[in-house]
Amino acid sequence: MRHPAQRLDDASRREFLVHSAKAFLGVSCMSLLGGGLAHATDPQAAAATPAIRRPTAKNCIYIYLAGGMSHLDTFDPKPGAETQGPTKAIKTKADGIQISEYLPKLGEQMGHLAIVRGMNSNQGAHQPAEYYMRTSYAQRGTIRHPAMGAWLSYFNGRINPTLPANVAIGGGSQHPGSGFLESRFAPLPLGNPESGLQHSALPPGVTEERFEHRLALAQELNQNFQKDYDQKQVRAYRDLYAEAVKLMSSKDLKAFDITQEPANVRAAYGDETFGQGCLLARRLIENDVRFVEVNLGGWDTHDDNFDRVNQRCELLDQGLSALLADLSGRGLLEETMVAVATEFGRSPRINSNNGRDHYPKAFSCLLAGGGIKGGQVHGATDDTGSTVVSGSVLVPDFNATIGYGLGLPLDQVVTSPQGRPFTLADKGRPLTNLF
Amino acid sequence: MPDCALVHRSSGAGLAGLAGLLLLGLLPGAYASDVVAVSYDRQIKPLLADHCYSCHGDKKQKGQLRLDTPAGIQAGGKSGAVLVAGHPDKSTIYSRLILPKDDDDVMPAKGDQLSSEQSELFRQWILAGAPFSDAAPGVAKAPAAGAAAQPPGTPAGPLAPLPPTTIDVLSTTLPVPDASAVKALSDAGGVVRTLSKNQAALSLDLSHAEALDRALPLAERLATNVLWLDFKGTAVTDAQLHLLPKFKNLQRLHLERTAIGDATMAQVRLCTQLAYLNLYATKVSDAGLKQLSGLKSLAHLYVWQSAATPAGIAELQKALPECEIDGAPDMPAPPADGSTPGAKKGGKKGANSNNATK
Repeated sequence: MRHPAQRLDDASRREFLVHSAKAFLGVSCMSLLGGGLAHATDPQAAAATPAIRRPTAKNCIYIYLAGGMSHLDTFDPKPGAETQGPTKAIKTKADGIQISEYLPKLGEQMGHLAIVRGMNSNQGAHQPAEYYMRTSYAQRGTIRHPAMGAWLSYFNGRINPTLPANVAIGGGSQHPGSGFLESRFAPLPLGNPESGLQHSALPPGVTEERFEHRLALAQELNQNFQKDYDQKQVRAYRDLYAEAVKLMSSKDLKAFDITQEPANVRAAYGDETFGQGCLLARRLIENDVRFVEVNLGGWDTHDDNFDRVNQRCELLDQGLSALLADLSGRGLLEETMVAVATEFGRSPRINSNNGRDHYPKAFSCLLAGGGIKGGQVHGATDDTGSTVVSGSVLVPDFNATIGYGLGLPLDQVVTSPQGRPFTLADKGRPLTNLF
Repeated sequence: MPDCALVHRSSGAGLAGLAGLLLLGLLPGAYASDVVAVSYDRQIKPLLADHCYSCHGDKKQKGQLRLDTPAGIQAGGKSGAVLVAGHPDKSTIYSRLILPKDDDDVMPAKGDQLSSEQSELFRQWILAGAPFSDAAPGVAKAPAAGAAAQPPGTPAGPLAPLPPTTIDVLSTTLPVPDASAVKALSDAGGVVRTLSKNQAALSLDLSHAEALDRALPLAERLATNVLWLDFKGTAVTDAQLHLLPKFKNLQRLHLERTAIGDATMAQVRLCTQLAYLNLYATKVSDAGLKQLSGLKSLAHLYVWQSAATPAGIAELQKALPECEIDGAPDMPAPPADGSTPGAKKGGKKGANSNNATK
């Protein structure tokens, strides 16, 4: 049941329509800043506040570490603390910043990285916590919220006309995807980075001519139906077909093919699914895919924490440091925000299985590129890594920071089909000090 | 039919109530000019006391939220501000009142929902700036320091309007872009995006354009408006880029992965606002870099995989000490096979039980 407040609110409905027209119809001359942030400030206020450089990022690579990465054994070590266990801390390229010995190569790239050590969340179970991290909203039975890639493609559309705007490499089926937004904003899922985009070539024996003929035939059969039922869902289906066909014949299809990379580049990323996923992400970003997510699971280290975190770290260290170096050398890091997120940290207390348990009260995430100043730390935990003592960052704040860098309208209310109001990062406030 | 149901529920007291609201101009959708004075003490506070204090008062503070004092309301709760003066839609103290009854977020969580007249009072009060005293209506103040029971460092209060960007400032001096050229360029596969609030500063991406020969003359018509220009991975030639100096406000230029050579650098040199230049995987050599030695605006230059040598880069660096010149990055060494300490040992099940903390 919808309340008349939503039903009769003409102003917001009009805004929504204008916005939808921009997003859905692909009107390409639209604000990178978005309408919401572009409030006309009065000139006096404008003169008083110094101008800032924005938007700073064009695209985003979102690395998701599923399972909950131990902050103590990665980016927030506490040398000397009883809670630290056997993990040692090492110096990095950035003065005064120490990280875990399991991440030596990322230590070399610290000049690009900002560590957010003040993360805390109120979700301690994997699925709701992961959902919260990706969407900024608590999971509910009545609604599905969009993840960041869907918001970006909804607000900002695509730049490459043939490639999808939003791609996810690896990861499970629990992804919130486009949430209540149209399914066209959902990420294109890719399983194995090595095999690229599956089923994108014509079946053997089918010539281009025959394919065209088949398409024309299908179109003819559909014609009456499409005319009689000229609705959004029907059109969406038709568009999906058209886009798939466009993609099949696109010269940009080779962006999905990492086997075209020289052997030394592939080796630098590490010969593992995650590293190769990072390489694929770079290729896609290079071809103006707007949002690429790369997943690395296995961080749920309830037992044998130290060896297992070490193993995970080897993959993360290799893949992410290669990605940062490669992006920066190509001049892409300046315009590409790299975010590393996980659902929660792990308990400072080491359990009887030499493991660490779920710990949402304090954990670490990373940001790099896209205008983020590297070589800095935001927030801190206490001597044992148990509580955030300064620079607390809630999950929506972290997501708002990504949105801020991408120039998305954080305060623009988007109404779900049921008439409920939502914003990109709930009520999160961006960490503007990181830029 | 749905409309009947709507009237029935929304009025609470039936049609007479709805008519009453209409007469008072109180129906949602009315604008700020229709705002009538709502008193916090006389109208809002009693409602809060009846419906909210039991969970958000001095005994319980669910969601770390207290609604029994103005300071508590202004401080918000665990999930941030509940009140954004002037914006009922952004104030959860109102918006959660009007959710459907079966919604998980609806407030009050226990007991009956507020009637629409009652929730409307909240809306009007917030629209009027949420004054806590009748005498001096005004915008709700920022929460007092220490008032909130939030983790330290959590920013409080509504999202402040963001300051204008440097591009916004510059864009006030730019002419209105030629709309027909924008349209024609988009049709030709160019991606035109605005970079400033007034839409005068543009970013133009030609890397997916079908035919540069058709797009470039159109781009020229927008030359003063284009701040960012992108040719990456295209077949653009040195000859085509003779028009570069016309882009006199150009700040970012992407030429990576093209066959552009030294000839174009003589044109780039004339773009005196250029801050970002990407020459990754081009044919630009030391001779081309030399041309750039007077381009003081340049802050970032990328020359990896170009024909430039370390000596040529060093020479340009001397001329442009402020410029960050990126040659080959420090790619990490590939993992050494099998020599990954700790990775293989003890990783299997079975070993774990013996690994209890000593």
